[in-house]
Amino acid sequence: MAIKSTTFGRVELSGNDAARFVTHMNEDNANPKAKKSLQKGRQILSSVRTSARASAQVS
Amino acid sequence: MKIDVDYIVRILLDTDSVNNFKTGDIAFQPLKTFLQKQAKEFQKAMVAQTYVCIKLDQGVDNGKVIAFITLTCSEIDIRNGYTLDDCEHAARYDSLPAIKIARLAVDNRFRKYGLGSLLVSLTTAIATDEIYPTIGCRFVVTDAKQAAIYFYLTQGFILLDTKDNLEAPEPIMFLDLLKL
Repeated sequence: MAIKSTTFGRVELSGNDAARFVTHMNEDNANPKAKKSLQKGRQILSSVRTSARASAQVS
Repeated sequence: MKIDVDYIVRILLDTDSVNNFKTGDIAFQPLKTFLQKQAKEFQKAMVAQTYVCIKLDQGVDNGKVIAFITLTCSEIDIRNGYTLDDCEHAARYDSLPAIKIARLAVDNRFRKYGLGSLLVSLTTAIATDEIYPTIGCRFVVTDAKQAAIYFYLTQGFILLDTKDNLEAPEPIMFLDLLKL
């Protein structure tokens, strides 16, 4: 098994899985979706630290 | 017709009501069981931290949990060695630090409000703005259920696209914080 991972533990990669992971680390470009998520997360983190209310709406 | 829900996001409290949390799917039962029986214990043991969305009743926090995410410290161990182009000296270490999303669930009566997305975004911000500046953190990682892969992709996570991982019941997905 080239991947070992437990819910509350570490992730172990070896063989092809480790090689592919290293390629991701070294060659992936910036991720716009992740950047957008971070921007949203910063607003939420601020509200968490200040106990601010939020509201969500669904149609 | 639009329906609003007022909520706050905070750390799980010992007094929070978790017994009425509904996942709506037997496949998610372990998540419900974790919230009801283990989340507070893990928190007290300092093993994991759970953040919750609390539905406000006329502006009052009655501790009604409608979504939660549980985070813990983790690491990614790359057994056959690696070289980081951005930090070659890191290659002498056995592993790289990470935050793991151990549990994530939204009460099925409160889906479509974007609460799961909100909690993942919160995790990214905690890792980037609080943990990395104080102790170092390179990744957010999770063992995603097959049904959740698309969701994590929309949050910017990468699916390790090897045969073993793609065929795994809960494949590894990760966010490289250096790329943010």
